[in-house]
Amino acid sequence: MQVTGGVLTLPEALADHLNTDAILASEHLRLPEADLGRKALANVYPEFIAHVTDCSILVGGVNFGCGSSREQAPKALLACGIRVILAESFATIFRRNALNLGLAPVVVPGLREASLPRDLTVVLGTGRITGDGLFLQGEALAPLALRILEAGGLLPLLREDPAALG
Amino acid sequence: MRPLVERILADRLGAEVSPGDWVTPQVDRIMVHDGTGPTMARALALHGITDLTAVDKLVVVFDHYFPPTGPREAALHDEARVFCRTHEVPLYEGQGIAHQLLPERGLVGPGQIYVGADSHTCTAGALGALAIGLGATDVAAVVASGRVWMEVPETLQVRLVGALPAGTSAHDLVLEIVGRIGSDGAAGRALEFVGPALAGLGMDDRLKLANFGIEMGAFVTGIGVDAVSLDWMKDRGTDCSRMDTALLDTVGADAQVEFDLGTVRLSVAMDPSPDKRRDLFQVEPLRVDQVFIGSCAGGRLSDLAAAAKVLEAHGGVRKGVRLLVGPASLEVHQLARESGILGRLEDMGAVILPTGCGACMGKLGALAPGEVAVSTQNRNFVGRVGSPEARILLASPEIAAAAAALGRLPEEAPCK
Repeated sequence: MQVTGGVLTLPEALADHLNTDAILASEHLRLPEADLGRKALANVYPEFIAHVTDCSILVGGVNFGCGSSREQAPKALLACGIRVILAESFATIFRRNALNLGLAPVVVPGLREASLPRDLTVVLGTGRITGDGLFLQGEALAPLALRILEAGGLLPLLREDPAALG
Repeated sequence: MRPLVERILADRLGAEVSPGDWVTPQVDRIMVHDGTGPTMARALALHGITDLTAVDKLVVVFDHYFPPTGPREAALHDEARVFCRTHEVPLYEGQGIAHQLLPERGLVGPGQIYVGADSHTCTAGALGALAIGLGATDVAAVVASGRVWMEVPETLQVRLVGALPAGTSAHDLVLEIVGRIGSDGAAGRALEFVGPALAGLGMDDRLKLANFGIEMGAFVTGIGVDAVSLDWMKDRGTDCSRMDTALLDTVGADAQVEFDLGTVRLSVAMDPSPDKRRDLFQVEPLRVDQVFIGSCAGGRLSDLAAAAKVLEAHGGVRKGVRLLVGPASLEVHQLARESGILGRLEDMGAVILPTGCGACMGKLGALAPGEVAVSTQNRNFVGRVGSPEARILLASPEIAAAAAALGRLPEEAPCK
């Protein structure tokens, strides 16, 4: 399974410890899911919606998605067209939520030092990231994580195979 | 002693586990609240999943939006009530914040695996449970399958020694630990507290300590059981049948970090992150507009009692300052009322809020641009409570109460 698409790198000041309150503020949690994307990062990065057009790969820093367990945060990013997040590390609940909803979180050591081209291809099963002469090695997703993503999320997987978790 | 998380998983799976193993253990208890419950129910319906294997382990708690502040929240409650009726799921409306309520009602116990659709589910780690905060879809999958997927986490053990200096509190201790470990210092790991000093920390303090695990990025927080916690659970109907797997490591020989309680000083966590801890006396005496003493971090009986004492010594709430008090549960509310604490707080100018999450997330007591709040809650992210241009400082109930009396951050230790 692989994703090819445009890359949006978060501004330096936001890249690390981006919390889920910042990704989607509490006041927007009850919006219809289709509308969540309009409010993504609205408090901290109002230009995000304009900048994310035509991008499917978002690049963050360390501890991406810390804080509240709200899965409207990954849903808001999915609604903006994001399919893969590359980061040096993820907060644990966000990483799970993203996977469970079909958004691929890929850990990439040394990501900060890389100068990224406009488009990338990410191979989820191996963690291989390429584009315009660049090669980066991210962490491969574990077999169960990959299975969840391939099914389009955890619930679609359970629908397909009720015994998927044993 | 092996790390708590590995002991609990090995007991459940019938085989030793090591960090990095992918496992799918069965779950003993599941919680959703009025924010995540309807999301969970809709996700199940959307994907056509009707066979809910573990729905008998589910409880629903109305704490985020109780009582509703508008028709959208009221409709969410209605949706959740229908789900509860259909599936015969116990529903707790306005009885308390889930993270206080489930331990109080004996709904989670030592050695058990408990998942909740809220990040502060880690609080129940104070009872020696493997208490995992998840998103709504993750919990939907547990309700459907009875199992939770996880990669066995590495454990970060923090050994607590020594005793708190006079004038400091467990809240200062927790802010010091969060400041030292950092907001991702325990990322993805099981954060376990061990060592001799735990014997001196009561359940209110331990629940507070476990509550902040997620603010250090932990997957779970663990505190094994001992006489103190077992005594607290004894009349609550808690299932303690697995307690032998969850005993407190009072020695902590393998701990990676040692923390001496004797080094704790009066602490304030500056916005916008709970790990931005400063010495109270190094922070300029900022004007304070609102004080909140409540939440699953700082709304227990000992917090309210400490606040009342300090507020009395300082002569009550200063004119122009709003002091909001939110008991963490109905039990806390009743005990505080019966012991006269709530009455004294009210007489000194406090507004007593209904128990629940409201003022921690700006549903009640939202802040205006430029306002400064001092709060005993656990998060001070931008926009957490009302305007993104407001500031939220985190501190102990003692410091918060002094700020309410002075209208600014105190420059001296709060009077007691």
